[in-house]
Amino acid sequence: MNSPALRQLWELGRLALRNALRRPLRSGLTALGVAVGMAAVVALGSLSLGAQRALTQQLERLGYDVVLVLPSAAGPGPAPGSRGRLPLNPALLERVEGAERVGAWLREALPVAAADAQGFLPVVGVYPDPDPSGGEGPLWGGVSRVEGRAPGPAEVLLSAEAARDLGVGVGDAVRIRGRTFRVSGIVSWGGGGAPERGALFLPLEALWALVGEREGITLAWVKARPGYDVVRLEQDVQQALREAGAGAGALVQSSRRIFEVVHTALRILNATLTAIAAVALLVGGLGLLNTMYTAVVERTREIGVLSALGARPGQILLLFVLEAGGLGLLGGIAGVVLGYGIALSLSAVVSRFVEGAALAPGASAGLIAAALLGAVGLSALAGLPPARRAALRPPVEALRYE
Amino acid sequence: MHEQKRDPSAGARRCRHPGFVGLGLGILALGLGGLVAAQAPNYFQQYPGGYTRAVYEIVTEGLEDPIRLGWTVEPASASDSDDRLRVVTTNEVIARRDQLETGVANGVAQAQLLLQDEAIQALLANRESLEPHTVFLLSGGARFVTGARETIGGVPAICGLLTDPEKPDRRTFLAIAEDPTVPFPPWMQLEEEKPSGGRPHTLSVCTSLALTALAPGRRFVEVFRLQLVEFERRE
Repeated sequence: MNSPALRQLWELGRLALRNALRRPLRSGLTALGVAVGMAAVVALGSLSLGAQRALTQQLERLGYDVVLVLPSAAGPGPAPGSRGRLPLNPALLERVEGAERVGAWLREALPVAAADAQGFLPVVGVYPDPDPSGGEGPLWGGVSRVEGRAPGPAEVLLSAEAARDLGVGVGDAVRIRGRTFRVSGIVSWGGGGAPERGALFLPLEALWALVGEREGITLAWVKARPGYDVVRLEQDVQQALREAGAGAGALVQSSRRIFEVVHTALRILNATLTAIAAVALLVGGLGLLNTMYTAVVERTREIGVLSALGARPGQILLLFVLEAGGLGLLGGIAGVVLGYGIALSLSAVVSRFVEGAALAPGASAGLIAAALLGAVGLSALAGLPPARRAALRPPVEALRYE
Repeated sequence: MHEQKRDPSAGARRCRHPGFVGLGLGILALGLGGLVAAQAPNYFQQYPGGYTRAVYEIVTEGLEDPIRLGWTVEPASASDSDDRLRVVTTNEVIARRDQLETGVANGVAQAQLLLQDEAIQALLANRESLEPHTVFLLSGGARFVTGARETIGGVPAICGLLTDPEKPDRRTFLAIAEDPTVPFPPWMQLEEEKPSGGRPHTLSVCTSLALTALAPGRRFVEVFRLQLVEFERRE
């Protein structure tokens, strides 16, 4: 505190704090206005960041070079006794030019029974045969633990939830639609959003045999050969489906197009959230502007005394800007805490009511720093016009003010 | 192939405020059309032919009187070579004008949500495997505890209570008919735990679930009910 400039800043800061504390209710309400605006910015910003991260993770799990095939809502309709089933044998897709790997699954709710429990659980037939050890593809991405091994003939792989609900472990028997299968392994997913949590997995052909079908999938995916254009692969897949007579009921979409759609949606979401947050901030800033104008009017005589005692206009301006900035900082800190709390609560509500959604608000140091700097900067800016008015008032006129 | 007709004039005959009938029944027809579509794919592909008529009542929060949903399916012509079906749905409601839009929309939305629920879909898809007085596990840790086989609207059905650990403050009573010509479950009653207000829990049908429904210290209210009141079937 040796520098005279720093010493002066310190003294002005103390004076600004004393002034703010002299009217605690008004100062508190002003800071609250800033806090509410800032809370909206932080809550919306961190939720948007969290949603962006979750979506990017899901999309990266899928891969950037993949073509998805699924039943179209506008198609000729599912096969009897099923919903959303595309009559297709995924082996057909292996012959598509540019295809490096093909995967598919069919999902059906079937009667499942163990020694002490029974029910109707999702049974997923997987092509090629289920093997989560690689942790690849839309189904096995995000697998955190595999106990036992992939299923062989008359064997089934269970999700950890299905094993817990049925009360079985590796080596135990389960009956699916009256047929006995041995549990070969148990698979767990980390985090939320796994596509088939709670299901039983067996080879696709074994599921077809259980439901009395020779074909049918809920979803298929084709991974492009390295260097092969994924959009061209999409066209190749469409052509292959048309030739096989399954084109009308299928929706074929490359992951690149899905990314483009999702990123466009995220950009629109971000722009909308930014606009909402800006309005909230503007309201907080206007509240602060009003408070500072009122303070200048109320303290006109005090300003006159300061000027008469030799305070320069710059010092008076700094005094009011410091007071406004201090209120902004206080509101900003409260807003960051409040905003992050709101984001946490909202994401908990979303995760609870939306199945498979694991939304965690994204907290970044950049967002917090930008929020605090924004609060202080905006508040100081809002305090500038009344401070300037106070600083430029002639001392004699100010002393005469009643 | 099938034809689908809706007859909103049936509602107009009973509504006290004809000025608002058009809008209200427009929403009702549109919404119930969606409800029918939600159930239709399995239903029509399994339909064995012949004449079916079913009348349901939908009781929902915000409407004093139930919505009546009529459903008729019959061959479009007497010719054996014509496999087209004539499907007629009729909708009726008596409601104050301020209740028409929200009450009807709420009832239809609840019905659609319930019918598209994964656990209920699994139960409907496996209706022939259901047994009385048994606990059935469902996806996501949900449980369906069945009571006795009872008759609702003239149709035998297995009664049960569906609970989901992820939604501990709600439960769904459900009756599932084995007959695949019954278009919707003969009885669905959605209840939520609320400290006050609403219609307190009662069982108008499926009284075998009375013990299963006991929840000491908790107060459940009925927020939605769909119930079969008439059913007629001819080969």
